[in-house]
Amino acid sequence: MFFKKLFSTKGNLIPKDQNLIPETREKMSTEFKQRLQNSADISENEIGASGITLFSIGTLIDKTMLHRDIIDPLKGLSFDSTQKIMEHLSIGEIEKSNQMEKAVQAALDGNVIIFLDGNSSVLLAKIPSRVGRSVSYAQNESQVIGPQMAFTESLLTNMTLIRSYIKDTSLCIENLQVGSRTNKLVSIVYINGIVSEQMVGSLRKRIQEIKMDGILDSSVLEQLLAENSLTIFPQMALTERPDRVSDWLLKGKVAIFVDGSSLAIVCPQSFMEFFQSMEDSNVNWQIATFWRLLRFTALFLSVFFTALYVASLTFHYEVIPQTLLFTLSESRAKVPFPPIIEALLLEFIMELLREAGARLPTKVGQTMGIVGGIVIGTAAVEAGFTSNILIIIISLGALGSFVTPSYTMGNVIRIVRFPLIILAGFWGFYGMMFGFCFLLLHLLRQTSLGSPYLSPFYPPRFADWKDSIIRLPLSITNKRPDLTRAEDEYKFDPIKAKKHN
Amino acid sequence: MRTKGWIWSCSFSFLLLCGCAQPKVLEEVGLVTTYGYDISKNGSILGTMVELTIDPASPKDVVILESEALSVRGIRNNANNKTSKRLASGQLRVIIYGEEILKQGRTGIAETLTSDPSISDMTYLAMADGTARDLLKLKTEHIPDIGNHLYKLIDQNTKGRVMPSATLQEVLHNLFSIGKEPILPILKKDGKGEVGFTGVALFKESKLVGKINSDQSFYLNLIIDKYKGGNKDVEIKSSKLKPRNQQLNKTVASLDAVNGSSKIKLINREKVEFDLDVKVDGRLLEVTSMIDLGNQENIKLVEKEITKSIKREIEKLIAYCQSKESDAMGFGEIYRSSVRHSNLTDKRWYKMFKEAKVNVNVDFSVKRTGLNE
Repeated sequence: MFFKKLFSTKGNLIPKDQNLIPETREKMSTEFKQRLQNSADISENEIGASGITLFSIGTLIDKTMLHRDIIDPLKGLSFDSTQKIMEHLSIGEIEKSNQMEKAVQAALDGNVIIFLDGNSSVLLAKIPSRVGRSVSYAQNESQVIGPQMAFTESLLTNMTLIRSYIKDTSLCIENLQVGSRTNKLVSIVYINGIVSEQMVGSLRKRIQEIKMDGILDSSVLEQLLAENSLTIFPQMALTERPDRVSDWLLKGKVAIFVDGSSLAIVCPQSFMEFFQSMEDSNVNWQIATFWRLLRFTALFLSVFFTALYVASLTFHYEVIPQTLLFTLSESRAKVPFPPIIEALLLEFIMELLREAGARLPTKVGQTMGIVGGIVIGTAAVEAGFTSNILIIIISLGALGSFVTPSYTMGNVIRIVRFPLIILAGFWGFYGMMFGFCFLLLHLLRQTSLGSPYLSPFYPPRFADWKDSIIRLPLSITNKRPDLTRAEDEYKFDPIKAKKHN
Repeated sequence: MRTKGWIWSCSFSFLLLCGCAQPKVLEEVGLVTTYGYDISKNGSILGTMVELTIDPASPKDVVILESEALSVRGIRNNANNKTSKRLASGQLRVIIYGEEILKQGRTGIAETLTSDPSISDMTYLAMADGTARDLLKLKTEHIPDIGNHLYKLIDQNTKGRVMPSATLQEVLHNLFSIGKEPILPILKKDGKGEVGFTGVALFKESKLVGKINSDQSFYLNLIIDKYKGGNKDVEIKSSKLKPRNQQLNKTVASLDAVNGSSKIKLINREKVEFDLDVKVDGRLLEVTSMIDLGNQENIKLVEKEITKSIKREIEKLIAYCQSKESDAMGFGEIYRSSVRHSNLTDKRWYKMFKEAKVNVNVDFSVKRTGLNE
C-alpha cells in the first residue's frame, strides 16, 4: 500500500515540456483545471469576442476589483498582444509570464490569469480578496501606557505596522516560502547595519531547510527554528505587539512573520528578556526597576514556594518560624494526606481551573471564579482537605506565574514546579537543590540563535546588567546588548545625549 | 554513550540521596521547645521537657514531660516512651540548667548537644535559680506556654541588652577558647508565679563558680560587648548632691540610650597588667536630686560622679571575677593575642588572671538631658 502511494504521487508529476503556457483557450482551460484538481471554485471568464479569458480561483480574488479594474476596461476592445493589455490596465501588481507552473502558483496567491488566445504568455494581475480582521487591541500582552495596537493575521498589515514604526531605509524585509503544501509567505525582518549578518544568515538557512507540508502559525515555525527541541524553555519570543518588535529590531534582533499568523517570532532571546515588558521602557526607570524585581521575585516564589512548603513540612520542621508553627500544624492536623500529596492535589486543581478558564467560552468563564474561589478555596480547607496556608502558597505561586509578561514563559514556570514538588517531597531540601542545580545547568546550556540563554549573567557582561533585571535611565543604557552581537554597538552617542539634557 | 553515562550518574545520585533524607512530617513529630536539666536524688540526670502537641481538639498545646537517664541524650529517648509523637529537638529554643547540675560541672554545659545538627546554634541557654524542673512546671494563667514565654523573655532581654547574650554558639565558643569563660543568665521563679532575670552565673570551665546580680551584669555587658541602646539607673554617692528621697538616702541618675564600648590593652607582659578603657555615653533622663540640670556645671558634676560610680562598680566586678578565677570578660584572649608564643593554657591563665592588675578608665559623657519619652 505504502509503496503504491509513493509511486502514484510520482506519476502525478508533470513533465517539463508541459510547463509552457498552451496557445489555445481550450488547452489552457484543461491544463489549468487539471493542475488544480478540477476544483469547484475555479472561475473562467471570457470577455466578449476579444479573445481574452480570465482564469482564477474565485475564492481567492476580489470580485469587485475583478469587475471594476479588469473586465470593465477590457470590455469591447480587442488586443493583439499581452503587452497591449498590460498597458491598458491600471492594476498595481501585474506581471507577464510564460510559465504554467508560475501562473498556477500565482493563481493560488490571489492573481487573475489574463489569457489572450494565441499568445504564449499570460498576464498575472494580483487582486487578492482581503479576508481578515482589522487592527485591534493587544489582548494577550496588554499594557496601560504605550500603543495598544496588535498584529493581525495579515502579513501585509503587519509589515505596514512595522514600517510605520521604523521609517528607515535600512529596514529589510526578506520573503521566503515555507511548507510544501501551505506555501506560506515568511518574512524575515531586520535592520541592516545593526543586525548581525551571521544571525540573519543562519536563520535564513534554517527556514529554507524546513521540509514540512504545512506550517500554519508562527508558533509552529518557532518550534522548528529553535536549536534545542528537547528543552521546555522557549528560546524565541512570540509577541503580538508591533512596538515590542520594533524595539527589539532596534536592539539588533531579527523578527520573523508568517502570513496568517498574528504573532511575530523574535530572536535571539535571553531568559531575562522574557521577564521584561514593553511597558518597562514607557515608565520611569525607578518604576521599571521595581516591576522587574517584582517579576523576578515572583518567578522564584512561583517555582520554589510550594516545594519549600512540602520540604519543610516533610523533612525540615526546624526551619518553620515559631510564630507560624501553631497555625501551620493546627491546619495540618486535620489533613489526611502527607504534604506532597496535598500540594500536588491543590496544584492540580489550580491547573485544572486555569485550563478550564482558558478553554471555556467567555460567557461561561465567570463561573470559574466562583468555583475556584468558593468551592475549592474555602470549602477545601473547611473540609480538612488542605491546610489554609497551602492555599495561600499555591495562589501566590499561581499569581507569580501570571505576572510573567510572556505567556509562553508563564506556562513553563507553572510546569517546572511539579518536578520540584516531587523532589521536595522525596528528598527535602536536598531534592530541591538538586532540581535547582539541574535547572540552572540546563539553562546554562541553552542557546538562542547561537547566543547564550542566560546572558548577560552568564557569560557575565556587566555593561548589559543595566538593562536586565533592573533598568537604568535611558541616557545610561545607550549600548545594544551583547546578546544580539549588533554590528553597530551603540544606540546613540552618550556624550551628546548628556549635553542635550 | 555520553548520554547513557549521564542517565546512569543521575539515577545513581538519586539513589544515594534517598539515604540522606528521613521524613519527619510536622504533625508526626513532638516538638520539644525547652529542655530543663537537673540532678535527681539518685544522681542521674532528670530532664524536663516542654513539648508542643498541637491538637485542635485539646485545649492545651503544651505538655510537660519528665524522664530520667544517665546521659543528656538519653533523656529524650526515655521520654519517647510517654509520648504519642516522636520527640524531636529541631524547634528547641531554650535550655535551662538547674543550679546543682552546673555546680557539679559533671555533664559539661552543652557539649553533647552540638553533635545534633537539628539543634540550632541560636538556642538560648540559661540557669535556673533552684531547679529547672520547678521553673518549667510553673503554672500561671497568663503563661499558657512556659517554653514560649521563657524564649520570648530571654530574647527580649538579650536584644534589649539587659541580659548577656548566651546562645549555644557563644557559650561553647567561650568554653572552648582559652582565656575566656562562658556566662549564663540566671532566671528565678518568685513566689508570685513569675519568672525573672536575676543575675549572671560565672563559670570556670563548665563548672559554676559564682553569681553576680542583675545590676552588675550591666557592667559586665559593657565590657564584653559593644553596648548599644540600653538604659540604666546609676547610683551616685556624692556629698555635693543631696538626694530627694531622704528615707533611702540615695541619689540615682537614670540614663537612657546608653552606648558603650570598651577596649582592653595589655600593658605589661611579665607582671600581667591591663588597661581597660570604657567609653559610655547616654541621655540623662532624671537625677533624684535637687539640682538644676540646665546648668552646664551641674552636668559636669553629674558626669564626674557617674564616671566615678561606674568605675567603682567595674572594679568591684573584676575583683569578684578574679576571686572566683572566672575570666568572663576575656582578658585571657587579649593576653593570648598580644603575647607571641604564649602557649597559654586554661590552667595557667586561671592563676595569672587571679594576680593580674586591671586599671580601669571610664569616660562617661551626657549626650543630652531632659528628654521625656
